[in-house]
Amino acid sequence: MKLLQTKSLDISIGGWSVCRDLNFCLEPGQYWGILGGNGIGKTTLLQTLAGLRPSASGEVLIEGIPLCEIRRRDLARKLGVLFQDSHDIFPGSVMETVLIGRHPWLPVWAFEGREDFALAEAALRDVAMDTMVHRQVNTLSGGERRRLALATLLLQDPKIWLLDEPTNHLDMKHQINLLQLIRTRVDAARGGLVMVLHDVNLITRFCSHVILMQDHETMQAGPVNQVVSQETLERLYRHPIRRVDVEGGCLYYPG
Amino acid sequence: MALLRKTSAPLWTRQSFLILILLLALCFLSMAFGIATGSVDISLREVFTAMFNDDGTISSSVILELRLPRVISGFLVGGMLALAGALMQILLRNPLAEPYVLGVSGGASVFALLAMITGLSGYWVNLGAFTGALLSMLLVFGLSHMGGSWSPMRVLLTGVVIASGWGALINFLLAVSPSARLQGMLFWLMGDLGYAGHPGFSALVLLLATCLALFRARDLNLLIHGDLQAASLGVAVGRLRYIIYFLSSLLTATAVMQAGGIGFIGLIIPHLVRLLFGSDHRMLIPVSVLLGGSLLVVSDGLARILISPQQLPVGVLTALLGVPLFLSLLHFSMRMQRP
Repeated sequence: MKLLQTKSLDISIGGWSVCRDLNFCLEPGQYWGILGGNGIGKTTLLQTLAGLRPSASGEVLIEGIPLCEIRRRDLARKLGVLFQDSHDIFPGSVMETVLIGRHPWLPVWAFEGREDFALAEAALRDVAMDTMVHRQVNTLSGGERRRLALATLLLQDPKIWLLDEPTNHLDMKHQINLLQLIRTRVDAARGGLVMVLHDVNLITRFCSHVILMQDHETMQAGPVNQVVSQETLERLYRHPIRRVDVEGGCLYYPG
Repeated sequence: MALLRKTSAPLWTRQSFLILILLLALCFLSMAFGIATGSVDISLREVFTAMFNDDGTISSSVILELRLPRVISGFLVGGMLALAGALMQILLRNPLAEPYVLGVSGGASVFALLAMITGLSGYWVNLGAFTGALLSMLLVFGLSHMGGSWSPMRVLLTGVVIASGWGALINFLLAVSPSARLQGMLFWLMGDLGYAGHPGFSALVLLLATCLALFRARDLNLLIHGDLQAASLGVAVGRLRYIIYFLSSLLTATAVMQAGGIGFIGLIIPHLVRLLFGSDHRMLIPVSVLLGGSLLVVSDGLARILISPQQLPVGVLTALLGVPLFLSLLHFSMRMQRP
């Protein structure tokens, strides 16, 4: 079963083409990373895959069904998004905020019950935020907000995970712990993941496949070990890249 | 952390039930106060006997024919403005938004003043106001919707510009109107319950709007976190925005039709409720309606007796009562947040 599939997808913003004729397919157990320079359209691509902005042509299929035919609520049970940042106009408590992840699972008229609170507490524990349930969101640090957003996504419990720079603001320990946590959850749900990252080494460590967004027309997609190399990265960033071999793989760093 | 509720605890507890009961009691008290105050002194006991038993005395006819309809209108108008303000703040993603920000009341005022200048009175003024409000609402909707994108910023800017256009027209009308009519017009602009018509229509609008908003309350909560986040959690954001826009416009139009431009309630009551009980709309909506209604009824009562036999425009009193109340709550909540 293909979780998410695009068929000759064209995306453009105001007449400016972000991607052309993209055919890609996310299967259970696959982890796709998206690499590309600033402003190349990675977020736009991710939001189009999530059905949050229209495509110029082509279509996105979720488990074989065209995205536009799925009701938002049903889609939210299958597909979850972690955004780059969040703006709350009236910030609430950490608990209130994480509980929005239960929204697609609760009947329209229902209040969150004991079970929802227990799930929320578990999700907060997973991201090491369980001591902060009473805190107001506007008093949190950038990294804490990031973990809160991730806990919300854990509570949403989707099959298809679309993450926009999930490691932003996180310290090294949390970067690794949280990516590992996400991997456990994705595997448990027999789901798949697409994430935008700027850290090539995290991509080679956590992803099975990668999309390189070179410029608006050229994209390269495939398994990480076939696509990511010193040459492709230098072409991608137009910058010299060094490579060092370490045990069990290699690391890239800018020259 | 809100002042009166732990926002990390479940919403529906015995405590929140108690709060609603207390608020209902407050509403009844404020209404009793509103009925008992005025140029004819009526004791609270007379109020209660007249409510349940029309004995044909002067005080019972004053109560049933004059004060009761006025108090009910006041309560409904206050509730409508508070609800419209809460909806507008979430629609425009702006804490400074209030029911009049998009020019609904400006349109209403221009048409109401036109009716007054031409010598019309009573229901015609109300009808003019309602027409103007609907016209302004459609104008802002059409202009800000041209080309397809409908961002909060675009709606806000279009509305604010239209509102200032109406403002200029209002000043023009005031400048050219005969001085004999000027005081009535100014009273109308400042907001006065003396013009209120039969409260039936307002009651219907407020009831329907409250139910509909409560039904979508969890969706509204998600809008706090932004359109994209809300959409990704299953809210049909576009449709919800249309619903909020038309609901808040209808509420404002009805309120302005009944009582002119009563300021302050629509801006401050939602913020006050957020300080007290947090920003969950399942709490915010009913409490705003009850509190907004009570504040307006009490203000109207005071406006009638403070410098009697003269009456003050009720808008003056809502602000005079609301400003210290809000500032002290803000002070307390800041003190609470400090570690």
